[in-house]
Amino acid sequence: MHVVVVGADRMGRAVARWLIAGGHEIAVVDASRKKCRAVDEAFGSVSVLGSSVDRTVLARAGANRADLLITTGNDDGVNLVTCQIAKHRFDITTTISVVTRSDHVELFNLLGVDVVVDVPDLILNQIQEGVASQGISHLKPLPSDGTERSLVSIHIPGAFGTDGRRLDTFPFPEGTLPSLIIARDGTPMLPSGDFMVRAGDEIIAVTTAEGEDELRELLASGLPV
Amino acid sequence: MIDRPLLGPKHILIVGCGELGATVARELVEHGNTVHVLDRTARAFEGLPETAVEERRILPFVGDGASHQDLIRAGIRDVDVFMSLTPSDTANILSAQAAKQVFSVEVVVCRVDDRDLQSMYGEMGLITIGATSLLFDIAVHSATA
Repeated sequence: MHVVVVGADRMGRAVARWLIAGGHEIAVVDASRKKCRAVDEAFGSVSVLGSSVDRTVLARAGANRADLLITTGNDDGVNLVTCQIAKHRFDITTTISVVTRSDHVELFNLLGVDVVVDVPDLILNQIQEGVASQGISHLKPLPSDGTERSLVSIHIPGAFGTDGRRLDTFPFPEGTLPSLIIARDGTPMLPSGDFMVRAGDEIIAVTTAEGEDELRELLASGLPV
Repeated sequence: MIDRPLLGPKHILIVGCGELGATVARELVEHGNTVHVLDRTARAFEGLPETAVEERRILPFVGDGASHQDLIRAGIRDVDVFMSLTPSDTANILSAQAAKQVFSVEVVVCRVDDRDLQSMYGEMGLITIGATSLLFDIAVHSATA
């Protein structure tokens, strides 16, 4: 398919590279001559120089026959107006846009942008995951039978030492069900009572909301001996 | 463009306190309205009439029209009319559509200088005003009169 990518910064170029690898035909729109030249050097002559909110520029990028338009710029106003021109002037079926402010997700959705990528939220999630890898992180909520349960990943911190402790003596909170162990060397195994839990191991478990809080406390304070 | 305006007293939020925003604010206040003004720099408010600011008939707020939080702080939930009048078409279109779709402001006016964009957003139901098309109309009118 033909895809118009707006923005030739790192994100735009990464999207372009991925699309080309997938066998798609692309045009990359950017207002900077220098960035357009960099794109052409990397991908062949695919750049279109100009402002994406100028209809004639989008037409030169082949918007008339495009199935998809993706805006990757850091100006939400420009991203929004570009997607709206794509829809209203070129009948492009699908528009995808990044937003730099989380409050714009709802607005872009309301105004018909099909997929809205919340960049600050993505970054925050990654940071949270990085922080959570020191303790416990949410994998997915499970269908409720009255009690809210979720699947969590428990990372055994360094404070637990390398001596290990039998899994059946591990003080799991009530309602917590260890389901899978991923040992620190990456070997997955079913939990058995005699498994020695050591720092660096990961335990995938089902737990309740209260159980999650107890586990977090337990991991922060270290195990009672 | 606005033929039965200025009935007042209304609450009006203007984003962008440049030449145009300040002039419109001054005019609206003289007709008994209360005008909230949002601009990114405090210096933009120097052109506003001091007495009206002191009497709180003009309420200046420093902030970004793209930020919903700043719009809320500037009172967007309590105004009858919203106008985005900055020099950037895309910024104006973004805030104006937020005012309409997210905050349900009754009357939304958006400055769009690009004629092509002006007609597109006009078709989509936004009240758009644009210097380029105004001047164009005047020029064509005087040439053909």
